[in-house]
Amino acid sequence: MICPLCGNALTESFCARCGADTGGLDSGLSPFEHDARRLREMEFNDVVQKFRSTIQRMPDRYVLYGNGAIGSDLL
Amino acid sequence: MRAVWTFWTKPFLANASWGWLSERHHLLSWILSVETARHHFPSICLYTDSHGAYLLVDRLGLRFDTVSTALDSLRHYDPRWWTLGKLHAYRSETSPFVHIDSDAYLWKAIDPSIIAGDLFAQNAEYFSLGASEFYMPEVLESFLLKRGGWLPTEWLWARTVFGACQKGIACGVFGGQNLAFIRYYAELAFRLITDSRNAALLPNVPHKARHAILLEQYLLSACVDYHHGREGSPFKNLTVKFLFDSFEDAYFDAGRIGLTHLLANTKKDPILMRRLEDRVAQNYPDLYDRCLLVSGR
Repeated sequence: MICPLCGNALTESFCARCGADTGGLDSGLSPFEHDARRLREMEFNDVVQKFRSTIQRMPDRYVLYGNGAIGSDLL
Repeated sequence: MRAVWTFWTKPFLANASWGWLSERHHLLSWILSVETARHHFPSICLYTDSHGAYLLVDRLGLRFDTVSTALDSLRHYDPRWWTLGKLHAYRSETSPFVHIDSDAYLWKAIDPSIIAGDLFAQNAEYFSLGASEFYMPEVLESFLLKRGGWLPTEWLWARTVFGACQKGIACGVFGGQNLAFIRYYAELAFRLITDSRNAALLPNVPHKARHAILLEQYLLSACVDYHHGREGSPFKNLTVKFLFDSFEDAYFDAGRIGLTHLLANTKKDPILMRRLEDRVAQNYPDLYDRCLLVSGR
């Protein structure tokens, strides 16, 4: 089986060349699904990273996250 | 585009969804949500049941262009699936709309480029499977599938493809132009509850009220991602836009969009409730007086 993203020959579920998680060699995922998964992981990691960096920059804002209100300053 | 609100009183009276500090604050929120948004839309509509119409329109005095008591038809549904009221409104709309939660206040008009889209919503929200307090698709899924229940293809697809990196779509503000897709997704949510394979199982699902957002927000995300770009799907070209790029942006950039959304337990925060009351008393004194009368203060 080859990686649907970069064409590399796969020997394990993670592609050694591009790092895509193919979901397992026998997962049956289509190339579209492989791509969707990779994009979701990229988005997810980006969001997590952004959240972490924001908290480090403004730790007191964590309180705001805790109370769960969006735009409470506007009220 | 018209603005739509829903008030299904059965979950509210059963305390099945997030509660308010008091009944007064619940009504104050209705006033502020409707009155702040009404100026941004040519028409506003309420989907409710007979009791809701009596409370919000007859007694509180909120004015809508259209009031539907179609949610009377949900009287036989378990109120712990409290998002069904919204989903019923979604599937009933016959022209492009925006639905606004009654705990959301739209201080500014929504950007026309967002409203013009197939679909728009407040923001995407990501969660790690097994680590979210609010999204637990694996719990409902495991319960149903172990007992011969049914789940939509889109749901199973999202769970398989995206693994631990899952996503929901926050629907404090939700709407769009693609009514066919919205109707398809809302009907699918209802089918999840009414399918004969699930109907006998669901009364015993643990933490049911917690799973209600899966019907609305997780299933929506799964449907969007499943159909977008899929050959043969009638929704292949579906696009979705968000008021905020992420959950985090919603917190830190709410002023740019002009949205307040009192999520979850914020509705019981005494400081915010004080500000809510002051705001309504100042901006809408007549409705505030009605609210005091109705809530018995």
